[in-house]
Amino acid sequence: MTVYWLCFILFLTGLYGVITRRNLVKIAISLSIMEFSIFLLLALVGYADGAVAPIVDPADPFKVYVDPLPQAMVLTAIVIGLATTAMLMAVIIRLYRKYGTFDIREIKNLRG
Amino acid sequence: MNEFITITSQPAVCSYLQFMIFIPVAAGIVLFLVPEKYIRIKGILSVAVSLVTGYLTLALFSSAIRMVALDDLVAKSCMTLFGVNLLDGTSGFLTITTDNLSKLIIVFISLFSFLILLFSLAYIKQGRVKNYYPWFLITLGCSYGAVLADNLLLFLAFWGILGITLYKLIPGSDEESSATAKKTLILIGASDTILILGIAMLWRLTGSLSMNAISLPTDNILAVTAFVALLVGSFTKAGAFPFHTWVPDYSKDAPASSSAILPASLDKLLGIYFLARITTDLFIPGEWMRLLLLSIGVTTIITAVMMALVQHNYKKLLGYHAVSQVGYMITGFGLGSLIGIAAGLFHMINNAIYKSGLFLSAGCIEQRTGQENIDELGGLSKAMPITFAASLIFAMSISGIPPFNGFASKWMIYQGIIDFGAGPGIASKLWVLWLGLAVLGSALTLASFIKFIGGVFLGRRNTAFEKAKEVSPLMWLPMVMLALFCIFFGVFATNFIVPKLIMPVTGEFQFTGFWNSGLVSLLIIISIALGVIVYLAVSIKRFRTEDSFIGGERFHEKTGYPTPEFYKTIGEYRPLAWMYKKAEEKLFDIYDLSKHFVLWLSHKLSEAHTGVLPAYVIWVFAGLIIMLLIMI
Repeated sequence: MTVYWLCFILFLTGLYGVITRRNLVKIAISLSIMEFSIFLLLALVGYADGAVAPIVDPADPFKVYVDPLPQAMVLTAIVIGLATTAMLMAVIIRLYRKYGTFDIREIKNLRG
Repeated sequence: MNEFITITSQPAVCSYLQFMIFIPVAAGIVLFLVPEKYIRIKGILSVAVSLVTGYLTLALFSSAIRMVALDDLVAKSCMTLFGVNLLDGTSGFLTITTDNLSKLIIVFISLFSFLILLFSLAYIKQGRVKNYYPWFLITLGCSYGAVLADNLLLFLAFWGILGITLYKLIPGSDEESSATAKKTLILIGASDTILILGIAMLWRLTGSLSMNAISLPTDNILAVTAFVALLVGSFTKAGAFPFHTWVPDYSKDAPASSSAILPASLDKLLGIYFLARITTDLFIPGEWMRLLLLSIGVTTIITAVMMALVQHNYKKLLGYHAVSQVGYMITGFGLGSLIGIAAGLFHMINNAIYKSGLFLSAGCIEQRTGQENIDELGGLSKAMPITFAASLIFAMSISGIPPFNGFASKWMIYQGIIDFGAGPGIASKLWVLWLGLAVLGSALTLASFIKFIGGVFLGRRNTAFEKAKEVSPLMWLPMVMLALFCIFFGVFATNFIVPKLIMPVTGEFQFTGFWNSGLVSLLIIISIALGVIVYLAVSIKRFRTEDSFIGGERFHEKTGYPTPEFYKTIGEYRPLAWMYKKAEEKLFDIYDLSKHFVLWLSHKLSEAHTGVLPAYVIWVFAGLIIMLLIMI
């Protein structure tokens, strides 16, 4: 149970970063931290103590395997996360070219 | 009126009913395809369509059928998709009721639309309103539909389309008229929403959507809410306080023929028709509901006529009167007695006659002078004698001067109020108040029409309009016919019109007091003839010429007929001045009030948009947490 809470704390750390940092690059890093906390959580869901990789051994039918599904999912999610991070960085670079700053307080054309 | 229901299987009459609704709508849609260049042809086609539907309505009026389900239409529908009839199973909703009330209303819808289309032939020039005739015909078809529909959902569909056509019949080319069109659309749309809610409540309460089947006493809170919700729908359409504010603006900015057909005649007929359905068929209003109706009625009469007194734009003045007259009809229905309902219906018809006539004459004046301000006009009676005579008759009718029709119906309302005073309950105890305010409203109407007639037609002619001349026969003919209707309905009120037209709807009743419209008219004619004889016989040669009497006000050289000065004095009178000032600031306009509220709310909400990312993140997560808490 503790590890799940630790994942949650890691998630909150990332969230704290997103909310409090003003530098866009740091926000992107914080987002990545949040992302990886979720990956960690998913991988931990499939983990079992003392289990081995799920390569079926017909000689020993009572061997304990880890759940391969979350792992496959997380692998996919990492790739997607990488793509979104790259996209985010591209946007940040565009914003920097337009506004000349990474400070999000300066970039507020959405203000109502 | 439940005992009259008989499902008929007369195929001929059934198809009349379908054609009455579909011919104008289909013709309207086809006319969209005809380019605006041929506007004259479009107009003539529209007149022909209105003649055909007019014939059908007359045929229906003289037939005896009561209620039909349009099974034919469903069976022969061409709306098939993959071999499945899309209208299958809708025959329960496509029910049409043709009791005497509906028949009466559709005949008058045909009459007004024919006369006003005739007027439009000369009045609506190319490019004035885009697609005037198509929208007009769709309005016509949907009005028939709304009046004939028995099922409330069918009624609602036609009613909703009418809101859109009202919006489309105003030019919307310049800023002011498009603002007015928007206001109209928003007010009508909002009231329709409330109407839908009311119908939903009605369905919840009774489990039926057929107007004939529902008869609900207003004894619990849900029924009262439904009653008020339906009232809002009908009041906005008819233009009663406090939902009237679109009417004056609409009459000011729309072409006169649009105002004549919609706020003046069709919307009155429809709104009051629905009010009649609400108060006599759908609900049995209780004591407090009567009190509500009566107080809304007299408030409408007085407030609107007070606003009309100080107007300088004659179209807006007529618009306020279009509101004020609705008050009488609501008062009539509020009484709930037979004579009250009959008076309400009769006044609705009379009002539609003279009010559309007045709007038409406003259109004539506007076309010949291009001027909408009373202060600038004057002395047009010599230039436009037919318009003057017709307007004078309309003005005397609306002010309730015997023997014209306005007097006949107002007199019935007064009779109704006096009868009502004999009854028990708090609303009856206040009968003197209702009567006094209704009579006062009539007097003030006369005062403001002296201003209209005097300011436009009498006095000295403004030099700018020396060349003004009478309008074309196509334009004065409808007015003259309406004026003849005014006289006819007034002179034969008690002997012919009310017993033949109104009593089949409401049931037999007795007039109180000695009032025989034919006899009185005869006396009036005799006295006028005597006056003329005396004038001719004595041959008064020596008479003084004086400046016009202007109610003790200072004479201003530049205005032709200086009555406006007198009305300015009313506006400056202390307690009234305060009210007028507030009205000028649109403090009583429900549209402006709600506009301010919405703008204030959106301003508050826009303050939440800081444009900084962390703020949005906090909102998102706060929302997420609240959602999680609710779901757990």
